[in-house]
Amino acid sequence: MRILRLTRSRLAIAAVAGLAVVFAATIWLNLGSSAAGLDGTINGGTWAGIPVRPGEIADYTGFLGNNTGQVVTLESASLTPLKGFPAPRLERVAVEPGKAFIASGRGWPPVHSAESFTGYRVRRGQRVQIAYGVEASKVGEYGDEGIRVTVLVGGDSVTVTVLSVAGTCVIQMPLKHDCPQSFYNHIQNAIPTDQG
Amino acid sequence: MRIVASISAVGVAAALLAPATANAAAQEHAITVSANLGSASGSGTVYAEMEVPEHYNKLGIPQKLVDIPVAAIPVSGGGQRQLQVPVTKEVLKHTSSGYADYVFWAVFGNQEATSEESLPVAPAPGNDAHFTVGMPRVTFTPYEAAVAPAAPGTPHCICPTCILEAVGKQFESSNLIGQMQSAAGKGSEADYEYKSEADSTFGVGVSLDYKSHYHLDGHFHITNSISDDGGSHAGPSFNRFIYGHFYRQRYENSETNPNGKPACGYQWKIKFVSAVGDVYEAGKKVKRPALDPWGRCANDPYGLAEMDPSGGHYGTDRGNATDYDASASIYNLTVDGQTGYTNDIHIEYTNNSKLSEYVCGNNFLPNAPILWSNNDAGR
Repeated sequence: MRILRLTRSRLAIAAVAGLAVVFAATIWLNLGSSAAGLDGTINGGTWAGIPVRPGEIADYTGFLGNNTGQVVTLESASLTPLKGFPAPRLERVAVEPGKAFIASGRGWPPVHSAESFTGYRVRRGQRVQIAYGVEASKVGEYGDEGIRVTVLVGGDSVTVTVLSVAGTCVIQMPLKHDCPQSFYNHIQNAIPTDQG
Repeated sequence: MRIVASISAVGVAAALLAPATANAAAQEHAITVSANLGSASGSGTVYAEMEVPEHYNKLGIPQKLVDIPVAAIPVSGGGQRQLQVPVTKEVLKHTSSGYADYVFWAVFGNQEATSEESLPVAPAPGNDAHFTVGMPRVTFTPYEAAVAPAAPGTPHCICPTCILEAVGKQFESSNLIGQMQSAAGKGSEADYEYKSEADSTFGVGVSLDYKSHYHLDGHFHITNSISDDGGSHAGPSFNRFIYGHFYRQRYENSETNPNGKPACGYQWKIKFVSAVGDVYEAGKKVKRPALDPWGRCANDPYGLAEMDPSGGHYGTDRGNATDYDASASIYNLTVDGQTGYTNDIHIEYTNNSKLSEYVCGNNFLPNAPILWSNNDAGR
């Protein structure tokens, strides 16, 4: 009987663990680029690029649509690497109010009216423009696929990928020449095919 | 031409409906379409068939089109209405980039009209159907007296499976697929790229005559026939339409009634079947696209994207289709066209000038169908 009880106990633990795995997997799957009414794919298929000096910030913009039916609050962001390229460092992030946005820029802030990212409240149905600045200290060709943004939705913390493929080429001064077109071709070809 | 033998009324009805019933059993789902049934009145039936291309030649041009019945949908009255079109397993076997080609017949008494449309039956991330926006629309031709039935009391559309065969060689024609405009600054550049998987949609023409009286009968979706990319590079102050070459093919309905009339409606069909995949700009003397109606991007109510000077790049996909009237001509028929459903048609802007430049469009970025680029001075 003792053996049977142990077996039952282990079965119960295994079942609970299994359910937990399924639950965690479900949550994880829901944290994709269109998790729970959050749409980070608006900029899919689009790309940008710019040459910068070592240590100079390159600016790009991703879009996040809030279709959750409630106000969400921006909490934090991290850079999403682009396959085949070394990733630059994410240095700054901000919200660009209004209808203008930085496609490819240098320095920070990208626009004079930039607002603080952390704590920004995205209204229901609003599409927010998120500028992010990346930097690399060494000469080279860098790429990223956008940013992963963590937001608060009804008290829950949810992370969504905001697509914004960018190619940053770090070159020595002076900026007399653009980056090689072959670099931008590689960036464009690296855009995931399901990015819209 | 093959003559369809006289068939009994019961036999015809059974032949027409049996495949539909069988397919209905294998129905995976239905797609809702907005159909304009025109001036019809009373009770009628919309027959839906799928068109399967077969026997491709070296250029990828199908030499045979087989129209297979999918469903018979009862309708009442004309005008605009929504139809539930079955998507069967058989249909799903014959999709291209998530689209399937349907041929519709609306039959009211002795009046009939047709329509042909590519429907996004299997949208999935990465395919073209995924980018279809809104409910598909089906617009029928004007009603005409139906072809005489094989026997009294039989349905007018009597062929269970219609077969159209290519007649003559494919035509290669030049067609409008887009437009591109660049800023005026020294160092401003723009590139139009039509990738190998890019797609377009063109009208289909049908006629009872070999060379004339073609009229628009819906739209089919086509892709490149060869694995090649096309591109057009432009410097400052560029503003022109972009063209590409497409193949079209004439087909003849090989089914006829004993009275010699085509058993499946129109005897002739001309269809754009594939894109060559090239891209080139319109000549200098050709009419140019309209410039930014707001003068400069800073005034565009939909906003703008800013590119810093000395190397700012912005590559935008043509996520939303742009409509072009009179993009192609089939004998006396002018058909419209659309291009840009996918992320495989790009316009890339490069700002190597000394001033900031902007990209804006006729809708919110990044998916505005038409784009303009200029600087603070609107140049």
